[in-house]
Amino acid sequence: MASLPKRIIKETERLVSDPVPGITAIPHEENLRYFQVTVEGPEQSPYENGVFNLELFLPDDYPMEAPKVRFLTKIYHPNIDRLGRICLDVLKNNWSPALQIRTVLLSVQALLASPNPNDPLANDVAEEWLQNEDNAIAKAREWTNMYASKQ
Amino acid sequence: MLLEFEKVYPVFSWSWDIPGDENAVKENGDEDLCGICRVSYNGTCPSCKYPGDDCPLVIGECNHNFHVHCIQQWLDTPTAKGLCPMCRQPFSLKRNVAINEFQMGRLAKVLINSQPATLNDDQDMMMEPEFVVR
Amino acid sequence: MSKIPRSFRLLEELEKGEKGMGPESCSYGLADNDDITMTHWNGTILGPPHSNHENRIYFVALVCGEEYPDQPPQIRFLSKINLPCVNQTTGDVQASSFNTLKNWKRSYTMETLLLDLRKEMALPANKKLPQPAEGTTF
Repeated sequence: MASLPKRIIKETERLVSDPVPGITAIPHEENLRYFQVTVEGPEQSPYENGVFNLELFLPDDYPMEAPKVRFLTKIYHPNIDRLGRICLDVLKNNWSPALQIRTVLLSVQALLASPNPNDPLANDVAEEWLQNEDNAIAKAREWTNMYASKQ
Repeated sequence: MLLEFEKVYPVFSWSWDIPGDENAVKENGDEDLCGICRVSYNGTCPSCKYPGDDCPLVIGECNHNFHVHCIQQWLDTPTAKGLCPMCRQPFSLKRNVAINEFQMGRLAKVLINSQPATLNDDQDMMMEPEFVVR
Repeated sequence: MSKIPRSFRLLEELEKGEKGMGPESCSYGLADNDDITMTHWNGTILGPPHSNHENRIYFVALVCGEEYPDQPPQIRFLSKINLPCVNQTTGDVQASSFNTLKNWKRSYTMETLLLDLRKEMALPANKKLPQPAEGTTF
């Protein structure tokens, strides 16, 4: 395997030595571009007290290309689909090489705090969110308890 | 006392002359890092072996600086849309800066290709390095 | 080249399949859109022209295990077909007699597999094999 770029080594080291509160990212031993990630649900959001598992991969062109990120824990959110795919601008058109693994994961956490049903990926969830927000939030809380409770 | 020098080992140090770099990324102590590859300005981009003239630095109008290879690779991607990775302003080379002079030709083409189509009316004028430097 | 993990590789294939960016002669997608492990897939192969398969659509089921794409998926015909590499009782494509499975490479995709099966149908030795009635299943 080709050697790991310095930038990825530095980012990984800093994720360990100076972790972001509420977020962990640990590279797989056999593939140092592939990270096992956990993100805590933000306080005062329907995802509060939940811990969500994600996976993150740095493609060959990183940092010219954004990391690939996916939820592994089921989550009820208008911008996250049933396969865990995330609709987030910095992962697509608004990527910049000035962003890093830690800033991307912070953006993911921020997305949990502010769902955007006007730019949906999961259409059924977004519809519920727009038509009956209380119901949708209750359901998001229920799913968090069911699938993302801390063990 | 009489001293006799048998051998002299001259040692030189150098660094890029960057006017007004107060906005530069400062992460590891005082050394300025390229915002793309996060290696010191005075070091090399990931594809180069030797720092200095082989892997020069360029200075943006927005005072964000990068290894020329790093910024060029970024501006070549469709996602870049010609913007600086740090501040998302249209990226252009700062004028009247010595170390930019040699890199104008290299970046001119990339910058032209990444400008919005409306600016492409007069290709001849666009080809002038002066225009890109602004 | 770095090694793309199983899930992101499958997401790429899914996206290509969903957007119809692949060739017209085959298609594939997730069997269950809620399956976060992306294990079970459905595929179709359009029978090649100038053969007994012409104008037929064959349905197949694929299983991408934990080791995919280091290991090939399992693939089984749902539509009845007479081909030397297909088990005539179960519809399973047998790795021992189908080169793409036997000499699987990490760079191969489900699309590679479907297109190569289509080529297998069009081989001079196979294209005039008598075929079961259209629409019958294993």
